[in-house]
Amino acid sequence: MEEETEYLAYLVPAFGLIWAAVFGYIFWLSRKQRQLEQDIASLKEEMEEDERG
Amino acid sequence: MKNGNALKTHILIGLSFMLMIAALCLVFLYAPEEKEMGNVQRIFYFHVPSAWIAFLAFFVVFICSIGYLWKETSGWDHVAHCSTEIGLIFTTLVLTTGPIWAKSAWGIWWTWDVRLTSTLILWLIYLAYLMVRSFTTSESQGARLAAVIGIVGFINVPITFLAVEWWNTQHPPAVAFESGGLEASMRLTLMFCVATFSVLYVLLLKQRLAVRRSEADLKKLRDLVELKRG
Repeated sequence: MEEETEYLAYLVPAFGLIWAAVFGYIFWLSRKQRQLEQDIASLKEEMEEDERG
Repeated sequence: MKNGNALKTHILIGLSFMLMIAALCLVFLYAPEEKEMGNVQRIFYFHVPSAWIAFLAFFVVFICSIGYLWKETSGWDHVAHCSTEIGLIFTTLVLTTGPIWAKSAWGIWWTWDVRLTSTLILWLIYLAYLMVRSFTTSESQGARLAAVIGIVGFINVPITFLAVEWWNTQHPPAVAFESGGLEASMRLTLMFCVATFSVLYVLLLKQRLAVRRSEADLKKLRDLVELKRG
């Protein structure tokens, strides 16, 4: 039984690593994009306020 | 226009996710168990496509670096920069999934075999590409230096790919794409995984480019605000 499932000790980390890297990167990108969009919007607001006076 | 782009991105994310699930099903339910290595061989179905994406990403870097040095327009540089990041992630995956497989097949995590060593050198070259960009104070100077690394560094890609043909290495040869090298169901699974990872590369590049463009927009706006406020 132990021998039958021994391969899982290799497969789980290998596949888990790939999935974690891909989804981690996508998550990081979408969070960064949201943050940048917020920064751009608040900067535009500031510029409009400056122009108004 | 923005909604159209968002829709395309959502479609691409959905497609990538479905393809990844289908690829996992093929790897674990359809592909047969390899006779010599057993189930551990299934790592190969994600290890090889990771290497393929790394090579593809660095080829894109090579082309865009030439384009940047020739035209000096930031678009080329943005694509090269983003593709390097993705290529580096997939090379890291190759360098981590490979030793996991090696431990089971050879009994050791690492050996200074030509294929393994040249892959490590490849990783270091493109790590240097990103470091040069972040350490240079002038953006255009950093982009030019990085472009030179992107062109010269690409020489290592065919060396890494052909290392198993040119030298006597411990790493298995690239029999996957030759007729008679793999069972039909194994080859089909591998091809499907390669296609899945290719779609994933397009998605990641598209998303990373959107972030890169937003960073450039934010920088322009900040410069404009500073200029207006004196």
